[in-house]
Amino acid sequence: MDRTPVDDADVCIVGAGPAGGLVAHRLAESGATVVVLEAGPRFDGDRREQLEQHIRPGLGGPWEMGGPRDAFSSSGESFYPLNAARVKGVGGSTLHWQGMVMRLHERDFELDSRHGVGADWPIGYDDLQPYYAAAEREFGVAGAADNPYAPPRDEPYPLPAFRPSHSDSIFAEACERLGIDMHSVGNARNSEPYDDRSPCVGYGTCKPVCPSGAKYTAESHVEKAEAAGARVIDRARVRRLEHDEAGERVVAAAYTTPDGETHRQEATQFVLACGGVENVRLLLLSDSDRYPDGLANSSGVVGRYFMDHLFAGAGGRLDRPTRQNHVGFNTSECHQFYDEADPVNGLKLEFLNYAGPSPVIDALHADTWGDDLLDQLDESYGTHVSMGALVEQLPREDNYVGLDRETTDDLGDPVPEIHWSVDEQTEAALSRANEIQARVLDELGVEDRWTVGPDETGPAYHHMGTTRMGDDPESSVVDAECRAHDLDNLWISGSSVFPTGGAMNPTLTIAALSLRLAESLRAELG
Amino acid sequence: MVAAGEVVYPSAAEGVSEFVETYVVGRARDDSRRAAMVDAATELDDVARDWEGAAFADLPADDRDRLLRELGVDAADPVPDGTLSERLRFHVVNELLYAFYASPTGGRLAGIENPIGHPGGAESYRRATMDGPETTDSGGERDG
Ligand SMILES: Cc1cc2nc3c(=O)[nH]c(=O)nc-3n(C[C@H](O)[C@H](O)[C@H](O)COP(=O)(O)OP(=O)(O)OC[C@H]3O[C@@H](n4cnc5c(N)ncnc54)[C@H](O)[C@@H]3O)c2cc1C
Ligand code: SF4
Repeated sequence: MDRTPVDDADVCIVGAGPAGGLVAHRLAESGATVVVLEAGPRFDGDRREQLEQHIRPGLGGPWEMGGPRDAFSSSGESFYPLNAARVKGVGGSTLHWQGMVMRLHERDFELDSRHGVGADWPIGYDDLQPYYAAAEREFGVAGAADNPYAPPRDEPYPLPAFRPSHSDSIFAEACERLGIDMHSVGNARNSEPYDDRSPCVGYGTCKPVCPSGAKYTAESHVEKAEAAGARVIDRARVRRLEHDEAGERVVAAAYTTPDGETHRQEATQFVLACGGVENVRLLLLSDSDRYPDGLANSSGVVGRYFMDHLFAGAGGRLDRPTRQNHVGFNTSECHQFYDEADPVNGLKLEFLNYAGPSPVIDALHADTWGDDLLDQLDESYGTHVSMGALVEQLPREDNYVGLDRETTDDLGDPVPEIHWSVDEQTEAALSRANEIQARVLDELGVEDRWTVGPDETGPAYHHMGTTRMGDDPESSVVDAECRAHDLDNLWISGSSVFPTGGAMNPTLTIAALSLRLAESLRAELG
Repeated sequence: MVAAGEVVYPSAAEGVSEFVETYVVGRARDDSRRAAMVDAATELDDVARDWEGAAFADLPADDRDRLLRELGVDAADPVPDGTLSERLRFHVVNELLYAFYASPTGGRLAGIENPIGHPGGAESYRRATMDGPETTDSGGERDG
């Protein structure tokens, strides 16, 4: 395959996840000459291979993460399992993602003004609302307008919501008695055929792989971008961005291909779309005399304010069948407590359709077989229920992504260092989530209880905040259009620009911002 | 493989030989996987001849079960190119278990007609029982 640079490129996009794929598609469609450089491979071929890799022990992970290419270090109080939290390949982390999508709430854009915490965004919900609607069409979101806590919307979802599960109906009895509202939740997953992709057929393995193609992955937009003329070069790892003498414009992206060759891709405009960790790494690796602390980092905040969402959960068993693990996604959530002021951290509740073990996975790990095994499966499957929750973590300067200069990857570049901890305020919000979950489980009479709270919590794999957006070049990296304050032709797409992260899964917001960015960049190209 | 299937599958399983021929041997995703399965089964036969004086398939089911356990296959990690017991676990036991419990045939015995790995449609999650009707919706209209 030819991996040499494209001549006369208008736009060079680094990264082929949703943040890069959507921009590539929009710009290629508008007639621009677009090249996308993607570090990982294309995962072509039968997805049942990844399915088997996921279910069967002994085959390695489905998306080949965690080798020397992906080395990292974790230096904070809480270990950060970075390679479980991302995928490198055409499609990016959406190859593995679950595909729950929802809009941020209005308050998320103005936490500082309303509550004196975190930061305000330089844009409001109103600015993003039309782009949210466009993003839902791009993903093919299945949803319904039954959520009284959702921010305003003017149009229906492109696809009807998945109907509630049997498990939801069990929770509904208890929630109704407690005055806790259940409602549908957006899914980037086909409830009907959409965009030439299959409807959901119930493989039940959405995370990490949907063999039917019903779950949206950014491969869709990368393919559409290619059909519109974009060139996508896989296994092309960008290692430096080079700027002009004045330090005002990026002139080239230097990338290395599997044969060990290093090439320079020149372009008029550059879009960084490598995810919330690698965006930072690439800027820091691109330091120069003009930008000694890293490219686009006059503010000194590149890498700072790293945030994730934290998981809280609780569950146990009932004395009746709960019918879990048929599908790999959820059909109901509760956003009733999201906007509360005490604790101020956003919080959303999930009713899981995949509680407890799945018989096939248990069987493959068991240390017996025959009737003995079936007895074990009978005992382990069938009566579990559980609730999840995501909790907001507010931005803190001392949570950061940096470079670990002592450790290098297989090309000799310093690896990313994640310095992360969970503060007391977030812990209090996790306890609050556990408290509500416990009320529901008590009401249901759930036994053999377990809880994941402040002591056991882990990240939800949403990397946010590290190249924050703002009006002030002294305290932010990009402006409201996602363009770097320091360099005219450098744009950053993805959740690294979020000043705060709310408690909603981030990718619909990433998509909305990407579509908005594409529009601004298009205007710039003339 | 059929002889191993008779031991690895529960006694309630019906039509084991047909199931194994169709879904385990017949389903192997590529030739190399099928070849590895055959190699492992051949090795198992060799061990059975050495230790028990008969081919694996000719041993009574109890002896087949005991032989596999004596080889440590029950406790072994499945490793495609590992030690003999690890290979037997991967290419024989887990190959059989995967085909069985990721299908309605095995799933149903364990209480799930649409197990993960099986594209059994997007309706079963709404049913209260394996063969019952879908649950009636509660809590809110969803057609907005
Ligand atoms: C297990 C899991 C479950 C998730 N579930 C959800 C969910 O339900 N809902 C939700 O909203 N979000 C979810 N997410 C998060 C979601 O996947 C991400 O928010 C989204 O994929 C981010 O998009 P992105 O394009 O910014 O980055 P990515 O999708 O990570 O893509 C970045 C791409 O850039 C490439 N790249 C990186 N560095 C370089 C370089 N130097 N040169 C060239 N290319 C480079 C990478 O290889 C990668 O392909 C989940 C994530 C995980 C891991
Ligand atoms: S349940 Fe998940 S994995 Fe299965 S078809 Fe539906 S979306 Fe895909």
